Amino acid sequence: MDKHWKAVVASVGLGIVLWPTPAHAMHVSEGILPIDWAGAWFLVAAPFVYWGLWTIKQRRAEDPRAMTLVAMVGAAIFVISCMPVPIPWIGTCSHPCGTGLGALLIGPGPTVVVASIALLLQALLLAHGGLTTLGANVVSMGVVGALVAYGLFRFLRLLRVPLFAAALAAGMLSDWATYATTSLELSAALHGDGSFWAMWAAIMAAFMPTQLPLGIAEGFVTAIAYRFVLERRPELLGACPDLRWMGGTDG
Amino acid sequence: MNAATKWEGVDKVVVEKVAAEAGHPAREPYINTDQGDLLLCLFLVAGAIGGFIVGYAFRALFPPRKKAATAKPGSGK
Repeated sequence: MDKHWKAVVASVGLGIVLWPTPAHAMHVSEGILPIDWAGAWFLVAAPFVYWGLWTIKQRRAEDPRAMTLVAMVGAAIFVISCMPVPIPWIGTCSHPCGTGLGALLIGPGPTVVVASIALLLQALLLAHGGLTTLGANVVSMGVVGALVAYGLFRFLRLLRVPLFAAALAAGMLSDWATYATTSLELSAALHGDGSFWAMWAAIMAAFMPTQLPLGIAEGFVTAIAYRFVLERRPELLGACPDLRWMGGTDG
Repeated sequence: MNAATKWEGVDKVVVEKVAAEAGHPAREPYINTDQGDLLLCLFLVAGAIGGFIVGYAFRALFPPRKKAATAKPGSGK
């Protein structure tokens, strides 16, 4: 096949792939954010992704075993964050995030990286989120979800809150913080002449009936999974330098 | 809630609704796999691959505990 025909086939293939048809996407979908806001969220996400990649590289050099846990957490976040969970008394579906659990198991930096990969694959393959809104979705689910869980867990453990309760609160607040950030991203970009805070509160109120019970459920799953790892393989958490302080089985 | 919106994702009924009301409706994805059963197929494949990776890594990280050998009385062992 000569170059001319290759170009024709490539153009036709690209045209078929990009042909506009209706879609039912989740997260912040394609085209919702104006391009300047979409670009700004990429800029916010970029240093966290770089920090996560640097952390993974350091950890891999110290202990290659940690990469198996990173791979498992990454695959789990991919599956969890595109799994619609029906909330019967509301009649809608929503998805957990999994980044709270990820932050407790592999640390916040690597969690940002695996969440970014998961969101990219969902945008490319599953009509889930969008490519232009990837930065915003990485910030809400990856960065905020991971940092809130990690920070809250660390704070509660400093206060001697039992492990299970601290992990439960971290997983729960991580989920709610993700949706609060999505509300912030939407209201910042779309409030127009109206009040930013009024729009943020309205979006939060709309999320609340579904996300309140789902966040509590995600908190319990996070706590149960974290306790399981700590009981079966505590050294896995100890293998991560920034997670060594999490060790101990009190509570 | 009518049948058309029953069990729809909250990101769609909240995020896309708010965006549409603000004049920024969602557009179709650049790579639109939501056509017929294609999306269902991709979800199943993605779930199967993701599940395999989780299961494989889980087995490597948390191997089954070996049961202590129990000697039967009078077996000479």
